[in-house]
Amino acid sequence: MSPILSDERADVLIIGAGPAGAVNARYLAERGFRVVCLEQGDWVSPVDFPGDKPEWEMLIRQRWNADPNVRGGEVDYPTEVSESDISPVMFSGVGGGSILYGAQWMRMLPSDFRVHTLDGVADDWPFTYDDLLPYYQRMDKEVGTAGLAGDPMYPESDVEFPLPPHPIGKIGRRAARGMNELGWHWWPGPQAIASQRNGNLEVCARFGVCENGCPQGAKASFDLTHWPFAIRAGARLVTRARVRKIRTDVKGRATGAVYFDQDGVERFQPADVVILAANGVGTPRLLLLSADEKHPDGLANSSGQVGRRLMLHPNAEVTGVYDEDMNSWVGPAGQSIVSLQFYESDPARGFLRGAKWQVMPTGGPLRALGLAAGNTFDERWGPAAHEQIRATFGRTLQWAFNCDDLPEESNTVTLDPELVDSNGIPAPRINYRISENTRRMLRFHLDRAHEAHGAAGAIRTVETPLWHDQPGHLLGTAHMGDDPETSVVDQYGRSHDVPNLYIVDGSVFPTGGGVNPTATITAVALRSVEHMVAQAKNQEVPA
Amino acid sequence: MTSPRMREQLTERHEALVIQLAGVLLPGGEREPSATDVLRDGEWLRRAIAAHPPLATDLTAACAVAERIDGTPDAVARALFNDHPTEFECIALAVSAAYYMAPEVHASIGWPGQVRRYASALEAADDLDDGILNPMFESPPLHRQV
Repeated sequence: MSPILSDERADVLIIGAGPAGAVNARYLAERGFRVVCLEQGDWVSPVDFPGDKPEWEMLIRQRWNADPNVRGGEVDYPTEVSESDISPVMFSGVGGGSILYGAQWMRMLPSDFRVHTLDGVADDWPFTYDDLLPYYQRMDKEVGTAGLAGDPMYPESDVEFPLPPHPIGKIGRRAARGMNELGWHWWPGPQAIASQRNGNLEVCARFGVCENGCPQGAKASFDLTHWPFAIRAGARLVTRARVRKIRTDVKGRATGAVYFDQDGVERFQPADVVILAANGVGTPRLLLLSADEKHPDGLANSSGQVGRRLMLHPNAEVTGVYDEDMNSWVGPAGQSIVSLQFYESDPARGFLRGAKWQVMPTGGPLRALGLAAGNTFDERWGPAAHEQIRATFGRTLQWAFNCDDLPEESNTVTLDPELVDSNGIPAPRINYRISENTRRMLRFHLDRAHEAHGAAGAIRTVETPLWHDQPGHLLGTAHMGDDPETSVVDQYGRSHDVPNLYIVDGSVFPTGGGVNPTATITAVALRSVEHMVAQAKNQEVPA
Repeated sequence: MTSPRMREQLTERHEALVIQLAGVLLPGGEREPSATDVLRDGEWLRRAIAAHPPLATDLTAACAVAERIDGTPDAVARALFNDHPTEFECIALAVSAAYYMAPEVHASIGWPGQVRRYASALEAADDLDDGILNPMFESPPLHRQV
């Protein structure tokens, strides 16, 4: 049976209501385009989030876990990860990954756009930091970034923040004293979290649970910062709409998308232009699902690059235990302070590229008890449990870091031959192995983080050598470039193969940098949509 | 008193067993109340289980294993820890999660719980006003030239 045809043809169909989709929807709708967005998840209300409830540390184990395989919700699609060192995390819903992100709002550095030129590996981006700078600045205003100008790691005077910084707190001050002792870079962390009431955002109440959803509505998730504006301007957002295929006409132009509605009814949404904003796993999945007789290897995939070069920013951390009550449950969490001391390449370290560090609070009492895991019964339980809480709860801080994992052809998103989602659509299979370069990077940074704690006076340290379920930075699987033979989209996100198909999520990153990517994803998405609109008169569309 | 939901998830016998073991894992301390006292009415245990539904089945299975072990609650807890670590961790999770929800426990460990704690208008500036950031203000540009 043919899908039911929507009676409303869209000028632009956006697939995915996360940060990039939201930025595009708002921009287009406010300029008069008829926008339809298909989102597989639902709206989420801040009152549903767990962080202001006594049982929050239990609620995040499943219901509000970032890993879709743990959540197992009907709107989530599963991922096959048996051949992967990391399980990609994401959230299906209006706002997408920003619902559960930490709102660490970091720009990439100028060198991140010139990795091939500077380090002789991977690729340069088809544009520079300076080209993206105006879009970074506009996104800072749109999300209301809170921060302090003057970080010497960034080109002077480029960074101005619309909101004042959050307090760095006792944990930030303790960690900073250690960094000063070592002569290492640090700076108050810029965050897309309202330090003052701003637009739709309430002022931060410092629950310290940013990555579990903000119950205060203070975090700049895009369901709050962008979708209300887009809808007010006329955009139509369809939730519980799971796309299974992008269709093309005889001339190879996208004509719209086939999707299942919340009742499982198959529908077709026609459009002049299709924008994919389904993240670095969902986007290649959809392109591969859209294979047909004319595109046997998947849509927009004449280069063979769709689904390749997956980058996930492997994360690790070292927690330090201190002799001082630092109230280390106080948010935002978030990043109190950051360090880019070891961000730039230094071949003498035995690897290329680097990592971005952040100080984070350490959560509730169950997390504190967990620091004793592996000890004997008498060291963990009975009177020792209370001693453990007295010694660690509120008295720890964490140096965590994102590694710049370079793109590898062998790290892929493909379609699993057996696993399917709740609509019977093939699930993505993740093949991600940590490279030798990244393994060395992880070890180097772990060792330096132990040193940083030592300099700050930590009594002891406990390391997590790899977070298998972090950080949800899904990058590189439909990367941009000037050459259609080696890249999927051009510098504005337009498919080399399909002239009215755009990709605006983290898939397009040629390299990943080492900072939290949402600021860059949205800046790139804004640059793309602005160009798309400027060129609208020349846009080829289906008949 | 056991809530209706609790009886659906754990039998009264199993609930009593968990509460007995709770007193071994988290006994009364200098300031801390005993978990047996805190969890006695079953309310916090019920909330812990409701917050993480897989726990109900796992906890029932763990209790069944614990019931087959003879001895005092202390001996049972140690036997579980040594010989049935999965079951032990399940019971320990339920007990500790439930215990640290209770306001009297929060008070005993000096934690206000998950409450709003707004920063004052001056707190961000106060955190930096002793010159702690001066080394960075005085630093030359650190970014790599491209």
